[in-house]
Amino acid sequence: MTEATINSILAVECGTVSTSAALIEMVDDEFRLTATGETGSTYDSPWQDITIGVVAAVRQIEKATNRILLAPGGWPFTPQSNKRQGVDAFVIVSSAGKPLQMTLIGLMQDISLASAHRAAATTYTATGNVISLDAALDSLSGGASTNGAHSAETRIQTLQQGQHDVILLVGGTDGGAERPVIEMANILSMAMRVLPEADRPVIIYAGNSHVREQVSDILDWTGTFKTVDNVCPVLDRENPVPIQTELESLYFQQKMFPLPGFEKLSNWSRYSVLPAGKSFKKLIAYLGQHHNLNVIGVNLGSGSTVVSTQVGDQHSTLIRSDAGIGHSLAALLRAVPIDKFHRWLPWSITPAELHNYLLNKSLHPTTLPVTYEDLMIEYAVAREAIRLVRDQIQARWSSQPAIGQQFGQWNLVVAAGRILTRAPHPAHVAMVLLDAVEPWGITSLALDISSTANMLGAIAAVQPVAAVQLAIRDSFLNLGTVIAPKGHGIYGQTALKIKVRLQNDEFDISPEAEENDFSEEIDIPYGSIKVLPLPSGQKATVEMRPTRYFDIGLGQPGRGAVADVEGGILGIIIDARGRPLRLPARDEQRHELLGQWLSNLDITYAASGNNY
Amino acid sequence: MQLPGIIINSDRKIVITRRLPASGEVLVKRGQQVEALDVIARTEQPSRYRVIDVARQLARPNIDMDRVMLKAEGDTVKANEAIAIRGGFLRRIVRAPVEGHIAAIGSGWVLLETERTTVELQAFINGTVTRIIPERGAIIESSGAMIQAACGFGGEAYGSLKRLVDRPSDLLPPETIGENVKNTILLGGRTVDEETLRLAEEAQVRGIIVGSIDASLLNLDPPVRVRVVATEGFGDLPMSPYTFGILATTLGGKEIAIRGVTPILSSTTGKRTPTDPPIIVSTSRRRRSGRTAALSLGDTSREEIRPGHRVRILRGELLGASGVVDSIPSEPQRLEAGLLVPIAKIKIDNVVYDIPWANLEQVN
Repeated sequence: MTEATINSILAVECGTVSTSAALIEMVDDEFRLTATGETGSTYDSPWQDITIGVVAAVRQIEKATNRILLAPGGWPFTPQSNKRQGVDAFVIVSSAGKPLQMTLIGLMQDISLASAHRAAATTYTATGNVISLDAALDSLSGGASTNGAHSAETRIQTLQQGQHDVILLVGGTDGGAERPVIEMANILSMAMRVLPEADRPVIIYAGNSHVREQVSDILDWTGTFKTVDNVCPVLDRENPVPIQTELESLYFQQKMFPLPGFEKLSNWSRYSVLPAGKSFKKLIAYLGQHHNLNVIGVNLGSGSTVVSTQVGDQHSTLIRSDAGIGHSLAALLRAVPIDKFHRWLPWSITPAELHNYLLNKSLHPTTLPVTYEDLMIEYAVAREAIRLVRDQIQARWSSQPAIGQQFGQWNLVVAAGRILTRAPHPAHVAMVLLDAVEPWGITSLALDISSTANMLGAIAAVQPVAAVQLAIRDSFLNLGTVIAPKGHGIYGQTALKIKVRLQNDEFDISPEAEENDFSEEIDIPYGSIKVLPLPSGQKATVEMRPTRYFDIGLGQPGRGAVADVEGGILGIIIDARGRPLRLPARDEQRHELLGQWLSNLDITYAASGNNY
Repeated sequence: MQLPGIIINSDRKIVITRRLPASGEVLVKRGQQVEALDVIARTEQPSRYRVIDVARQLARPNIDMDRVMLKAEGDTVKANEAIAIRGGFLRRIVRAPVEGHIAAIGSGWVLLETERTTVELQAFINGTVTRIIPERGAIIESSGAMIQAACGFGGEAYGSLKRLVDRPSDLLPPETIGENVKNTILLGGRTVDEETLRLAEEAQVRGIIVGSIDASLLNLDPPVRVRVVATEGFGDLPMSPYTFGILATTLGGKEIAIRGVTPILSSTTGKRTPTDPPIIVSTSRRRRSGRTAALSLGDTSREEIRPGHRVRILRGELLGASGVVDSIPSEPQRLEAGLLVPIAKIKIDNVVYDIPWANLEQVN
């Protein structure tokens, strides 16, 4: 079918924990989200068939819309035959399954290995070991074991004992270093010689193209060797696409297709299955480019966390399969010290108790928070998972001074992932985003309330208009606008003064907004959060006068501004806690502040008295 | 609706897969009766290598290895024995720096394996070998009790089960660890601390079963040689009375096998490690005709959950507790955390609790 004839789309997303479905149809000359369904993923025991969850999620839509979408055999009727039966297109995105276990071998940690790591991080890979000629590679591997400057024997042993689906060999710019690359290829060859044939991983060479033939001569015998173009052909230019394409294809072959029922599911659609991370990346790139915004998207999954940014024409996406909040929580606990999670909890609990609690959660990653404390612990984990990936992306941006300066000054933050979309109060989501992303200046917060953010990239591939209209109208809940100055001052002293003037020329002023007296200038003290209710759809002009230590993004501290802002379900959130965010080291003081901030956002902290 | 399952069963037919970490020799035959401590397969794994740069030592970067090598792959060499030679006017010899055998010959190099470690695989349960996995191991069937645990450390152990506590919430008293516990597996209650573990190690205890373990015990330095299995999880959780009941009454004094591991932690190290789950198994030495369906790890019931089915709670204050389904409300309910989710009403000791469906597993 052509784009012109696609008027209805059924999209499904198979995640590690849940499977969701969405029906998009033409309503009054516009594509709208008609219904959604969600159920648990079923690729694992006891179901052992991923299509069971897909069918269950779609059946919910059938029930809600009184339509027939699935044939008796379970597959969708395509194309749509009449008003009540079938859809024109069926698209699938997936993040189910384990990541590709990867070992990286290269010469210099901050050149070719760093490029390879960045290229690999755009798909679902987990880097286990990094072997380089120079020193350790902690910053890249995020806690993975490193083997810098070791003997050939140690490297062989590491490779022999390692758990890897793929080994990525890089090194040398084109025409650059040759001998060390050959040496590394030889070491790899030796390690493969002592591995049983069945245990040999795929080896991809993406290094100096001038020695590609020699490297092939050394490794071709393995039967699993492939070459792609150099990931770092010259010092200041990266070529990530060939590696990304190869890894993505391997991920499909080795991790997705072996999932019970996956092949059957993929045969139900005439379109290729898209990895959820790639689909999300397309969405963020579109939002940034089309609307000329600096956008950051965070997508928290059980098995991975995805952070995607678009600044001008520069895009960056990072998928960390060791930073999920459920299935890969044990790996996250290795990458992030327990104190970092602990600092977000507004009550007394020892780090050891918290560690035990989180290990129990990782034993049962699909379980739900029961008490308020459970919920707060989940959000503490969410904050640190996002921060881990955000910091890594920020490090990339910092190498480009012109853009690096803008990092954090987001126009839009998009939040996705079940832990956020099922939050009992939108203020929880706002707090997680403020604490983890730390936006400064003036930022809008959008929540993927329909759980379609991961589907939009796949929908765009078959019907771009539908994806655009969905993104504008139905997918996101506007949480509100954040005004957050950068800088620090003295607690309690004024950080900025704000005056809000409602724009009532287009909308009637809502009773909530009218109740607030916006005529006076408001003092916002440093260290506080204040919420001014301004419902969705209503606009206001905000006059901001930061004091001399605070910068709201207009070039220098103390410079004021007038800006038009739009309301949201929470309104205008003024976050005067300063950037970068600092939490008091003393427990009592920190607990009090955390409790205060939550109550400023209308979240009452009510301890249930649980002991962990 | 279905649930993931866990095996806590006192008398079922049991199927266990035993597999070497690498290719090796299988020492048993199909149909053979084995006992838990019988070695059923063996392999030797290289544990140390030396790389010999033949090309450099012979001062020929692009050397033809076929022409200079005196030894072939698999050959054993003694220390100082010649392994390669370059003839002619400037004759050069490459000698093995240490004793070993030649693991691989590449272009210009030789990989000498200098140390091997023997890995022996025991049967783990008493039973009958029903299938041979060529070069790797075997599948063994038996009948008896199997309890799938939550976590543990130390690996596998076999011995008779000795109960040292009266209730599942009791702490394992250090003073009870004396001479009479040598070579046994102790049934503790709630948890165990480092001091008690060290005492048990001194008393040559083979293993300990408790409800929970503190995560700090996973990284003891020096590591303790006692194997530990926790049935419920990490922290300070009592053992489920249901599990304790099976261990104390059905298995008390019997020979049992335990596997103390935590797969979620070993899978994050980047190393090739076994991911078999932590379990407690007791099988009879006598052969029995099993009438019940075989139960193997990973098997779960595909039965719809109904009132009366036994389930285990996976989160919250009741973590590890086992009860029966009282009813399944059709409408979702709001939890204290604020989430609106499907729940089941679970009866434990005559008290009915609302438990989110996602926080339950079926006890098989």
